[in-house]
This record gives sequence, structure tokens and C-alpha cells, in this order.
Amino acid sequence: MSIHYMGAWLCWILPMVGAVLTPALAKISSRVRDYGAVVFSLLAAVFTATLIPHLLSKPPSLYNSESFRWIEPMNVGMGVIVDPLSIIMANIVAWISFLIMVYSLRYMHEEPGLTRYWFFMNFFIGSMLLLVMADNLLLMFFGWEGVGICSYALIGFWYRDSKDDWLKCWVGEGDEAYPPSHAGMKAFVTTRIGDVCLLAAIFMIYAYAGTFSYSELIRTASHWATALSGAGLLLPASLLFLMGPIGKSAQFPLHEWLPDAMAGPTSVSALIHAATMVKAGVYLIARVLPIFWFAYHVVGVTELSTFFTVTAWIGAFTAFLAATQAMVSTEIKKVLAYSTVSQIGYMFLALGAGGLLANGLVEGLTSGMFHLMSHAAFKASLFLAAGSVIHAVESRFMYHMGGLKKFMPLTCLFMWLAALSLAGVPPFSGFWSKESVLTVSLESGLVGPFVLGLVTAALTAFYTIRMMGLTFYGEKGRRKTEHEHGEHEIKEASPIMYVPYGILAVASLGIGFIGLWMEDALHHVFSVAAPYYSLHSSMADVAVEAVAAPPLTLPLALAMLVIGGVPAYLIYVRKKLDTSAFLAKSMLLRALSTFFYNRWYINKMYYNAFVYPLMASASGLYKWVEMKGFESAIRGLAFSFAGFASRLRRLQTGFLNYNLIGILIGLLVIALMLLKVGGLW
Amino acid sequence: MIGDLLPYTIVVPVVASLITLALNNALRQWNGVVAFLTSLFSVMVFGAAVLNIFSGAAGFYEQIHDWMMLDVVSLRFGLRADGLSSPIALTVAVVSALTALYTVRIMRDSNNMGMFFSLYQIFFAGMIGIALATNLVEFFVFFELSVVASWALVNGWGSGEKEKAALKYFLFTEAGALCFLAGIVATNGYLQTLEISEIPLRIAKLQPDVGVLAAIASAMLIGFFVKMAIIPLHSWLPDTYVEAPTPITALLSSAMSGLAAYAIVRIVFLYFPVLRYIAIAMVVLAVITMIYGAVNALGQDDFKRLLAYSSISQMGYIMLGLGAAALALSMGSYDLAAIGATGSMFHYIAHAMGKAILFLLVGVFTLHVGSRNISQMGGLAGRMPLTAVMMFIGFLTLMGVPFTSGFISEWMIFTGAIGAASLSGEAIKVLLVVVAIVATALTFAYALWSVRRTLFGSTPQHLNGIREAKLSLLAPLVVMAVLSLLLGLYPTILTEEINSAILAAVKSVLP
Repeated sequence: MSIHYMGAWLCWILPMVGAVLTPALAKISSRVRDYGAVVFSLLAAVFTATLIPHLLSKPPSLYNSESFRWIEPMNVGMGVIVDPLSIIMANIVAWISFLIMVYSLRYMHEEPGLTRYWFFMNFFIGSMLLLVMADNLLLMFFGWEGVGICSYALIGFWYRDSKDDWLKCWVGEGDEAYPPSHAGMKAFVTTRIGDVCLLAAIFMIYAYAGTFSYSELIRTASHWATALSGAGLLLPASLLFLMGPIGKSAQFPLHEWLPDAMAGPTSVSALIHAATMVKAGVYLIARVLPIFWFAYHVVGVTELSTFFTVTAWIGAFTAFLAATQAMVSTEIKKVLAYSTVSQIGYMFLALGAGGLLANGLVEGLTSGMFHLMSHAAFKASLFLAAGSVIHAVESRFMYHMGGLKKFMPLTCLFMWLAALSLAGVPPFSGFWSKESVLTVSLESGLVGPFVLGLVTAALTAFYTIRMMGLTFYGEKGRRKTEHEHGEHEIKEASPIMYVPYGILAVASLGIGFIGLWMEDALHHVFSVAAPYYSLHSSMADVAVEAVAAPPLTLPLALAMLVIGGVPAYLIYVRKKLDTSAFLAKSMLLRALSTFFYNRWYINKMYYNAFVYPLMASASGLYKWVEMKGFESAIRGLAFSFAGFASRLRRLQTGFLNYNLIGILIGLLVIALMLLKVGGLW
Repeated sequence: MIGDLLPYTIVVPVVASLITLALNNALRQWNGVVAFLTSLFSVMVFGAAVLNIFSGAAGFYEQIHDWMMLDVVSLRFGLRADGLSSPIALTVAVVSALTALYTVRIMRDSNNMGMFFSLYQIFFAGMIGIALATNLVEFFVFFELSVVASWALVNGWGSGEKEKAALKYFLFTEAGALCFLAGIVATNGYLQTLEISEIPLRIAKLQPDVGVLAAIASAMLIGFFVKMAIIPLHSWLPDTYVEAPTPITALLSSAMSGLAAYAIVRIVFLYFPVLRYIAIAMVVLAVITMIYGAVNALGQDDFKRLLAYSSISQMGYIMLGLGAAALALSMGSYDLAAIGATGSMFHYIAHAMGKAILFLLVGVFTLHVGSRNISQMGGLAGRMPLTAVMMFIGFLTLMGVPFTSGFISEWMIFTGAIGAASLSGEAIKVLLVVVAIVATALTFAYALWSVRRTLFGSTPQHLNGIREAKLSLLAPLVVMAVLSLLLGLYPTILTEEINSAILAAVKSVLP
């Protein structure tokens, strides 16, 4: 291990060490445990920062993984990969996680079970960084599943499922209300469905490539991709591979776990949405994008175009689907959750579209990672601020909020900064990154996803401003009025909470101001790296003149912003228009609103089509096949033996005459047999 | 030195079993300490053997003596600890030692504990003998020894309809054993050897009819299928596991059942010309068993019965690795075959750790909750945190989540399976394996569903006073949990030698 890459190892080892030490530190005192946990996450962040110089170093240090032997018979090494993708990703993950950990100090103060909380938070960060730094698919999968375990444990942190804490830690209303332990299980099982598909794909690739290492995979791509394609397995393998990111990043059709994951503490939601977990899927696609891109454009395995098209379509459709649901949600965290699903959809769109283009590798990576970065900043800020609001109001429902601007001015300000970025208002970072995604998708010629992306931009502006209006403007919410008669007053959060989300909010403004430069910088970094992803020499073969997209996206995106944002502003912030009047008049609007509120009935459908039938068939199988089938058959066999024996026993009467007759018959038979054998008969 | 100690790993428990019988009333449940010490002796011997083989200090240890040399049949009595049998024997010894310690506490109110531990040690000696045997008849004798001892244990110290369950277990296993015996007799008649290591040599020399070999191998396989409870020969397992005393269930499930898989690698694979006919049947039965067991587990309320069905499902995983290995071997790819078989053997070890933890937890629940029924539990995580962590690690191991040994084993099994299916070039086989892999989500479903119903949610009224189990009761579980995690992080210490032992074995059979 050379000294240069120490950071790449330590950044994921240290949080894991911190996690393991948590129970020991808890023995000293709870303060030592809390601050100790935060220090370990800070160390991780510092070590990822030491990798930044490699970003600008000469190409030879790129894609350079150092591994030592790990699992012998499979020839799997344990190593880290240091390239622009992992450096950028690791820094986003580690620094945002650190801010969330600081925020947790106050937010989770005096909750029971904090040792468990800090253990899993640090393990979460460590697993995510392992996932990012791993130089092969197997080691990556350790981080990948580690993230899954931690999300399970943290979403279900309030595992008692107490009805008394209904307003704090359940999620949903009516027949779609779920307690935390259910939500945690749902998250783990749903993502697992994606994971097993991913595993199957990894095995299939391994069966032909004989390696799990990214750099080996790209070096031998022409060999294994052709062979796999010849067996007719390349497309199935690539689509199975895609299922993993779809599950982890909560894309359609495995998106239903994420909204319900809001049952966890808000700090956990922030970690899942902004820094870890859902970003893992995007990262993995970005990680293998050069491999698949190379196989498609250079090796010429044409069926991979389907893989890229599917990725783009899933992203675009999910972006639209989730945005419509966010427009009618009543819970502040759920609006943000839907919004995450929707924004991740944009990243999928960018990567899929980039892969389709012969010159799109760099562009796809740039816009996908750019949007990931800006989303990470503003979404972490939004979640942490929403956490403050929930903390103050003691309810997750927006109809319990309203008029909070007066009481929590700083939170309101920071949340506006982040919200404008999410809505895609120039010059915030979200505007530039979204515009970049749309440009790539237009260039790739995917008209459908491009249009969906545009429409979603309008919806995004609408739901974001709606959320701000419902939370901070207008009348006091129902529950808050109760508070003024007793209990406690609503006041601004403590600095240890608002400083982290303040920093993130300002950062998303800052990235916005340098937006174009930032995009260029990312573009530059990836184009320096690209030849090494795709084997220097062959890069030239596919260098096509860039097709400049018509400068449509900028004005269109701005138009969408106006279309979505202005009505929302008038309705929810200025309260000039009354929604109930609209809804009363238009049946279509009412129907749409119900349809969106019920999550397009997809969630219900999943329960009715998969969960309940599986449970029913489990008890049915036990009752009908196991008990009535196998068990009765065995019993029948036993009884028939018993019956045979009891019938046979009747011959043993004990009467001498019967016995004598028996003896005679026996002798006769023996005599006949002897005659037969002797040939005399 | 280690080679000289091998016979004592069987002699010591047998002698000690007489001692515990004599001290029946004097020591009562403390007889368990004797059983623990005899198992600990084996742990040390096989631990040393594993480390020496891993470090390359020795290839294998072997002792062979003439036993009965007649004209028609010549029997040798041999014990062989190599890269394959040492880890298996070590696992048996570790589980047995830890379970004995646990039994001291959990069965302190039972009668005749001296006799219990006497049988316990004979059962243990039988399993060690199975792992080390070099001769088919010797193997059969140890096999029968363990079956009779475990039958007596279930019959005498079980719960509910224990005699009925024990009889069912005995009849099923004996029927299987007779099939196996028929295979042995036919092997002796046809190949004129009973030495396991000579089977491939004789096959190469005599070039026997494949049909006859297939009959022999199938008879043996049926015997082992019964032992592994492969569908449709599984009916004995749920009742036996549920009614057996909990420590014995732990031994049966984690140590005994999987030894049949080891026997398939050790013995059936040597009849290599027939593998191509039976491989696909093994794979199909494996996939059915995996799914059937898991779905049945999902429908259970009795935690012990749930684990019993989970055991059936897990034996399916092991069988899948073996089927894949047989498939690869029949196509001449011994590297791939070794990966699948190594995965299966490592899954035996991983499953032993995970399932022993879970079955031993059943005893903890019976003691503290007063019931095995999941519907009687809830919210235990807050009251019994260590128990909860153990249950979680146990299930994570079964689920094959990274950081536990279960991931490594399942990963190797599936790599071998996909590889063999791809090599065959038939899309349908690849699809079958993909179905098997996707079906692992079912394990997630029943595991997490159990965890949620027992550990999370609100605590029922009658459990308000419940407290954490004593550390002396949970300590054996903690050790197994740590072992599962350590093997998950550094599996090479076992996988490498298992793999090279299997590789050496399959290379010797292939022309």
C-alpha cells in the first residue's frame, strides 16, 4: 500500500472501526460515545479530502488499484480504486455524512438506544465509502449490502412501533400507514430483490470474464462481452445488473420502499437520500458505464443500446411518477422522499442517454455526477431543515405546520435556498445540473424521456414551492395552536442543528454561482480520465464530432419553471388562490389528486399481488401440500403396513386344524418346486 | 503427532461416555462439562490440523489399520484428516462443544443427564467418524452409530410426541441407510473394493458398465437425500427437529444433516462417469427444496418448526452447489466443480454456525418467554438486546449477507452454478439458476418477518417482566456469532484448503 492511497483505505476503514468502538465508548460515558462517533466520521471526511490532489494529477495515477489477495480459490483481491469518479463521490458522501452526524448530536439527543444509532450510522458511512472505493464488484457488494443492513436497522430505529409516537415516527395515513419496523423490513426486502438480480448478473459476467475487478473487466471487455452476447446472455445480464441500482436507488418498479423509509429519524433520511444508499445505485451505473459504453461503441455489441435506452426511460418515467406524487403529499418528509426518487430519475436519464451517444461517455458522467452532487447538497439541507421543523412542531404532517416563518426565520431562509435549488431556479446549482441532464437526453435523441424530464421540471417547481408555502406561510397549523395553550413554544432550532443545513444551503447557492465553471471542471476531469476507462487507443476510433444540441433546453427549462412555480407561489405562499375551489369544480383534478395521493395504486397493488398472496400461499402450501399431501401419504403408508400386519395376524388363529392344513399346503408347494427344479415335471 | 491423535478423537468420547453413564446421578447436568471437554479435545486436534494444512506444514494426516482381511472382503479401518475432512470435523466439534456447555444450563432440570451425555458423546463420536472414515463399511458403521444415538436422544428427552417423531426419524433414516448399504455391497461386488480412495482407480481400470454404476450411485444418493431432507424425502425432518430436545436439534440440523452433503463429495463424486446423468436431477431437486422449504417457513408460527423448514431450504442451497459441481465435473471443468463443491462445504460450515445460534435461541425463548410461538412474542429487542443481536446475526448468516460466512458460501455456490450452467450452453439451465438466486429473496422474507414479529413492535402484556438471558447461557452463541463473522471476513483460512482438497480429489477421478 503506497502512501498516496492511504486515504482511500482509511476513509472507509475508520468509520467501521468507529462503529465497532461505539459500544466500548458508551461504557465510558454517553458524551464520549456521541462525540467519538462524530470524530470518526470527520476523520473519514478528512481522508477522502486527501485524495482530491489525485483528481488533477497526471493520468497514470488514474484507475490504479492496489489490491492484496483475499479469497484464494476465487482469486479475488481486496483493493481500492482511485479515479475521478470515486474521488468525487467519496468526498460528497463523507462530508455530507459528517454534517449529518453533527446535526444528529442535537437531533437525537436523549433518545434511547443511541449506541445502536451511532453504531449503524458509522457503519453506514463506512459501507458507503467501501462501496465507492472498492476496486471489484465483490468488495463493492460488501459495501452495497452493508448499506442495506444499516438502512434496515436505522429506518426501523424506533422499532417499538408505538402508536403514541404516531405523529413522530410512523409514515403514511389511513390504510397505507406503516410503523417503523415494517418500513425497515420493506426497504430491506425490496432492495434485496434488486440485489439478487444484480448478484445473478455479476455471476453471469464472472462466468465469462473470470474476474470481478473493474479494470480487468474493461481490459477484457471485447472478449467476454462478445462471448456473453454469443450465448444470448449479454442483454439479460445487463438488465439484471440494472435491477440492483433500480432497487437501491428506488426507481420504478422497485421505488415503493423509499417513501415509507421516512419512518426513520430525519437524520437517517437525510443520510439515506443525500449521501448514501440511494446514491449507491447511481454510482454503480456510473462505475460500469465506461465498461458497457466500451462494449457497445468500441466492441460493437449492439444489443447494449437496449440497456442504455431502458436506463434512460426508467429514469425519466420514475422522475415523472414520483413528482406527481410529491404534489399531493401531506407529509413534509414524504414530499422530500418523492422528490429524491424523482431527482435520482434524472441521474439515471443522464447516464442512460450518455451511454447511447458515441461521444456521450464524458457528458453522461458529467451531467449525472453534477446532478448527484447538487442534489446531495440541497437534499441534505432540506431534510435536516425539515427535521428541525418536525422537531419543533412534533408532527410530520404539513397541515400541522403553517406560518412557521415568524418562529423559525433562519430555518425558513436556509430551506428556501435549498428549495430554490431543487426547483431549478437559476442561479442555484439545481438549475445548472438539471439543464445539463436535459441537454444530454435531447442530444441522445430520446424524445420521450426528454419531454418527461421537462414536464417533471414544472412539477418539481410546483411541489417544492407548495411545500414551502404549507410549512412556513399562511395560518398557524392546527397542532401548533394547541401548543400555545400549554406544552412548549415553537422556536428556532439550536445552532448545532441549523449550522449544518445552513452550510449545505449556502453551498448549493455557491455551486450554483460557479455552476457553469463547475460543469466544465467535471467535464475536464472526466475527459482526462475517459481514455483510461476505455483503453486509450480505441478512443480515437469512436471520436465523433459532437452534435451540438439546439439551444432549446435553457428557455424550455425556464418556461417550465414559470409554469409550475408561479401557480404554486400564488396558491400556497401568497394564498391568492384557493385549491379547494379548483378541486370542487373539476372532477378530473379530483380524480388525479386521489390517484397521485394513492401512489398511483402501485403500492396497494404490490401488497395485493405479491405480499398477501405470498403469505397466503405459504400457509396454503403448508396446509395443503405439506400436511394434506406428504404427511397424509406417509401416514397412509404407515397405516397400510399396520393394516397389512393386522390382517396377516388373523391367520395366526392357533387352531391345530388350520395349522395342519397350512403345513400340508406348504409341503405340497415345496414338493412341486422340487419336481420343477429336478426337471421331473 | 496430529496423525497419532486422530483415533483418540473417537476413542476419547466413547470412553468418556461410559464415565458419564457411571456418574449419572453424581454429576447430573454437570456431565455436560465432560462432554464439553471431550469435544474440546477434538476442537484442538482438528484446529491444529486445519492450521497446519492451511500453512502448508502438512498435506493431510492419515492412519490406516487392517481390520478384517478375508478373501471375499478386505476391510481396513482408516482415519483421514485432510483439507476437506478437517474443517468439517472441526465444525462438528465446535458446535458439539458449545452446545454441550449450553445444555448444562438449559437442561438442568431434566432427568438422567448422565445417560443423555453418554449418548451425546456417542452421537458426536459417530459424526467425527463419518468425517474421517476412509472405508465404506467404516463410514456406514459410524453413520449408524450416530443415527441410533440421536434416535435414542430424541426418543428419551424430546417433547410432545417424541416417541412418534423419533420412530419416524429412525425409519426414514434407516430406509435411506439401507439404500446406501445396497450401494456399498454392490460396490464391493462390482469394483472389488471398499476403500473410498480406490473407487476411481478401479473404475478407471475395470471400465465398468455405466448403467450399473448409475444404479449404485443413485442408491447411495437416495440415502443421502433422506439425510439431507431433499424434497420429497423430507417428511421426517420437521417433526424430528421440533420434538427433539433443543440441543440435539441444533446438532442434528447444523452438524448431522449436512454430513450427507460431505459424503456426496467424498463418495458419490468418485463414480464420475454417472455424474452427467444425475447432475441435472440434483440441481432441479435442489431448487425445489430451496423454494419449498423457504415458503413453508414463511407460513409458520412455531419458531422451532420455522427453523426446521429453513433447514430444509438451506440443504437445498448445499445441494445446488453439489449439483453444479457434478454438472461442471461431467463437462470436465474441475476448477468450476471445485468452486461449487467448496461453496457447498463452506455453506455447511456457515449454516452450522447460523442455524446452531437460532436453534439454541429456541431454548432461550422457551425458558424466558415460556413459548416457542412467535405470536406470543414481540418487542424483545429492548428487553433482551444480546439475544436480539444473536438472532439477527444468525439470520444474517442464513440470508447470506456480506460480512457473514453465509455470503461467501452462497456466493461460491452461485458462482459455481451459473458457471456450470453457462458452460453447458443451455439457456434453460442458466434460467434455472437465476430462479434459484432470485429465490434467495424468500429467505430474506421469512428471516426478516420472524425478526420483526419477535424482536420489534410492542411487548405483549404477559412479557412485561421479561429479562435478558444469563450470559452463561448466551456465551456459546456469542462464540458462534463471532466465528460466523470472522469466517465472513477471512474465509480463505478454510476455503483454500477445502478447495485444494476437492481439486485434488476431482483431478484424480478425471481421466
